[in-house]
Amino acid sequence: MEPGAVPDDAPFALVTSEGSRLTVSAVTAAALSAGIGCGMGLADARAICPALASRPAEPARDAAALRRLARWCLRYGPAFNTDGSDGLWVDTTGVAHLFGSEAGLLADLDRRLAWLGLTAQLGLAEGLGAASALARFAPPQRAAPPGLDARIALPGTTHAALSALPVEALRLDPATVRLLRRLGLKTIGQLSDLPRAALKRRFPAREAAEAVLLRLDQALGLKPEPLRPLKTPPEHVARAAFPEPLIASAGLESALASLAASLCAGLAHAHRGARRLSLTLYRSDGTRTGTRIGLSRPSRSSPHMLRLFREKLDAVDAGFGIDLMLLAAESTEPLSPAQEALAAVGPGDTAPDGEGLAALIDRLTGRLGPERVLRLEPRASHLPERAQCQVPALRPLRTLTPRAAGPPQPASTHAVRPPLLLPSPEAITVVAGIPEGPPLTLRWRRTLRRVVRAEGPERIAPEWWRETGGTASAPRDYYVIEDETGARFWVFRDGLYGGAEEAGSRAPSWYLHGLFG
Amino acid sequence: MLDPTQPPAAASMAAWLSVCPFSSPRTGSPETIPGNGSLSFGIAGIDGRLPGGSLNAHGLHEFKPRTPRDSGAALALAFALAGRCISTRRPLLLVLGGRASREHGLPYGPGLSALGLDPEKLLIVPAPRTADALWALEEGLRSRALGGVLGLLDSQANAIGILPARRLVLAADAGTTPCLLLTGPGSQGLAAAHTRWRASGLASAQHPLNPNAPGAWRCALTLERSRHGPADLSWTLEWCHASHSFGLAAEFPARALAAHGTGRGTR
Repeated sequence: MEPGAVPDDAPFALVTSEGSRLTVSAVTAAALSAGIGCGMGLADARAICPALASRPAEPARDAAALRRLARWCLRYGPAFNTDGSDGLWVDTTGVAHLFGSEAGLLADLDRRLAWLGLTAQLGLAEGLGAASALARFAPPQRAAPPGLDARIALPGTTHAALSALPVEALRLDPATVRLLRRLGLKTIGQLSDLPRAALKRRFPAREAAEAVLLRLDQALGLKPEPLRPLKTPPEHVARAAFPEPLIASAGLESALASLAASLCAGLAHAHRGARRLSLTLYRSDGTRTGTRIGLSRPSRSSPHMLRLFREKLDAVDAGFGIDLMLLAAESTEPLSPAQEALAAVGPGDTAPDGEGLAALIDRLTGRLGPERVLRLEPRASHLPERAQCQVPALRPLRTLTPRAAGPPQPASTHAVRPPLLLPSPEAITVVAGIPEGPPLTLRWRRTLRRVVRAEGPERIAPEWWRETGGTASAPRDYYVIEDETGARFWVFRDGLYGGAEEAGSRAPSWYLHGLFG
Repeated sequence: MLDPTQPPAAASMAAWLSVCPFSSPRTGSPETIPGNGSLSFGIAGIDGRLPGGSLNAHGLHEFKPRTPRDSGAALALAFALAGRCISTRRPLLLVLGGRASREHGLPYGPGLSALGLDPEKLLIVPAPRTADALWALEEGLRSRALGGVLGLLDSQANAIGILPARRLVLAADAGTTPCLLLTGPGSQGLAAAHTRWRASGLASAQHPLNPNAPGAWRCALTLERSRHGPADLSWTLEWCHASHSFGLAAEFPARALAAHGTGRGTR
């Protein structure tokens, strides 16, 4: 939904349909104060508050937006993912000092989310369980004494920070929570004070008791909880934040140069070279943009990376300015220092420098795109258009056995093939002396050509084993023809005359498929 | 649609890079391939008239068809010449500018190898925008990793301005890579080119076995302009499929005429 379509202070609800019943699934603060709660029927809600506006809920788009927001959180830590349908987590290990302190980090996050028009509840703790509990159930910031943030559980204080929170914060299923409340266990503190054996006995099922203890241990940091990030954080990242947003591309370029240098230093230390690099630029208005490059060979040469990025930086819209840049090596491969030194000595006029070719492929691909830098690959097929495919030069070689070294093999003398093949055969009109004979004249692209010489036919049958019912393709008769100017063409007749049972009912038609010199 | 972020496996990529530029040993006699990708026809009659005995290895050479109908002949000539220059172990960059790929089709490996051009050594760059095509040509010329650069530019319009042409010549001069440029018949020639050639198709030679079939491919070639040598010279070339080399067809004009006559007579 467009922001601003409904004023913030108007009662508004999102509605899901359960069978024939419409239920409120989310409400604004104004609607909440009017007495409307989630789970209420839309008709009841309308009765309570006639001014209530509603829209159908779109869970899929909500989830996509949450994922987008999670990716935005990359600026606070390398690993992140969504948490349920309404939360997300970021691993900020070793990041807080960049913002002064943990409280500074949360304040920065709060401010930026507010700029995006989002209200968020935040929590910061050693583990996912504790952070989730704090974010969802911590008392409001106003209630906390000054200088102490109830949303933050510093190492060692997790138990103290969580003990006052209700048991709902433990991410348990509603039935278990009800049972705990019936047992009089209302807060995490009460639960953790009980002896474990005594707690286990109070549950009817052993699994339920174990689930409670597991969640409790995870929240208190006694048991590790595996994190599943949305994407694996890259091992090598360089990061630069700017006090003043950068707008000019010259500034971005020099900042990128220092980023690339520090990234390459890290790569050199790890004896690795980058194959894929991504550059993420955070604009000062909270949006982000980015670009990525691929390298045909692992590299940690910062001038080379800079050259590739320079082509793309021009297209980057800096908007109101860039205040944070992240350069990440998303995919790396081993690259020993000796290899690099050899390549540095190598490029000369005499040395066979595959390095130079790889760099050229990278540059061309960087500007034109991988589908514009191609090489030819032979394929096992007798159909002319299937005997070759064009693959991006960045793509790995598909041939199973490396081709034996040797001079170019002349094509078989029986199979005459043109050096240029039209992307798809073009229909021509033909006058032939006899139905099964070569053409006498042909009209191609509105030009009439008289055929002086012709050779053929070479019959090429369709690949019947690839056909999937329905349209059976007909065999083709190929001719090499030469017109009165000496231009030579490769034309074919699609289908056979006479044999209706073989070629179907349609009459044979002529096509031009390739050009010789 | 290919995922551009998919990293190729290192081993196989390295395999291609090693197979592609370095695989085949040098073919031909040593004097036709001096060191870096120099360019010659392999015919004493033509090479002798060129300054230095071959096309300038670091220069811009323009090829033009005489009429739009001759563009096929000019293309085949450019491919065959390029095939001679990449026999020096390094790949060839082929830039298809403008509508070239729609007009003439796409390079087809099995047919290219008949012109002596190893399809595995081709790096093809379709560039519909002329600016991109010229940029790719210039990058190729400056990279020093290529055996040659061949650009097919739009035959429709007078595509290249004076300034981009000058940039290309400078890039070719700075590097050691020959640059072949195929431009349209109507457009004005590049003033900066080292040589300019004009090609037109001819009726092919007599087929050894079948009088009705096209024989060896022939074209008429005119050296219109040569920066440091004589110009306005014409030859008739014949391509030998067996040896992948050019020959001068003018040495036996009578036979060619006879063949032509036979071909017509049977129609």
